[in-house]
Amino acid sequence: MIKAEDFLEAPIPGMSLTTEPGSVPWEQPPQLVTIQEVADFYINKLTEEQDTIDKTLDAIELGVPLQSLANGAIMFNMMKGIHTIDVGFLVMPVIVEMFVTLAELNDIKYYITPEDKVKGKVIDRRLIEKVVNSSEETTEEAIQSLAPVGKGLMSKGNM
Amino acid sequence: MKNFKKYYSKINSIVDKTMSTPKVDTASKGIVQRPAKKEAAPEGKMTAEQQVARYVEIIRKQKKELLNDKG
Repeated sequence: MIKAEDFLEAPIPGMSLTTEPGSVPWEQPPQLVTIQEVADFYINKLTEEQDTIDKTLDAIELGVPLQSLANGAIMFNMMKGIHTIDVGFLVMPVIVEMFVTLAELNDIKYYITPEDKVKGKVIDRRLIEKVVNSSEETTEEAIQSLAPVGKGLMSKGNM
Repeated sequence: MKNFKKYYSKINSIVDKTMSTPKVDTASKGIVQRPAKKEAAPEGKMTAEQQVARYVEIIRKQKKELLNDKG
């Protein structure tokens, strides 16, 4: 539910139109236009800039899906006015492939999509049932083996 | 975003197709020569998907080489 304060802090409809047109980078013509230019831009970034490579590898190691990482990179560069959002999405597989290469060369486990990550964590229901059943059986066996062979309440234990 | 998986698998299938196609021997055999094969379309005439697939293919090939050198 939206709090009253949050609601009042929200921008007024049409507020974005009060600034001068073209004052933000994404309202300017993009610096890179073709798929080739944008792909080369990302490939250069991910092969030459050690800082970017290190940060990317850290994020992959933490389990961030490659798709989300690529999406973040596209949004960031789109907001800087480097390319448009449509060319960015077209080039997304190239960026993901670069991430895959970086991860495999550094022996890091990776997930391409967020669904892949969830799939890896969710255990199959049948497997859970199997494990529970087998553990129940072993527990019952253990209890039976521990139970004293009684001969009534007054019986004495083996001497 | 939802369509990324679809798009990525489409690109993958194009890449797999081109990578698995064996190279045709186009060398001349005496007087009888094979007809010239159609060359790949120049980059300007390639579709966006083909261009992206080409990049992915190059990256995969280089990755293979690097992994071979490593191992």
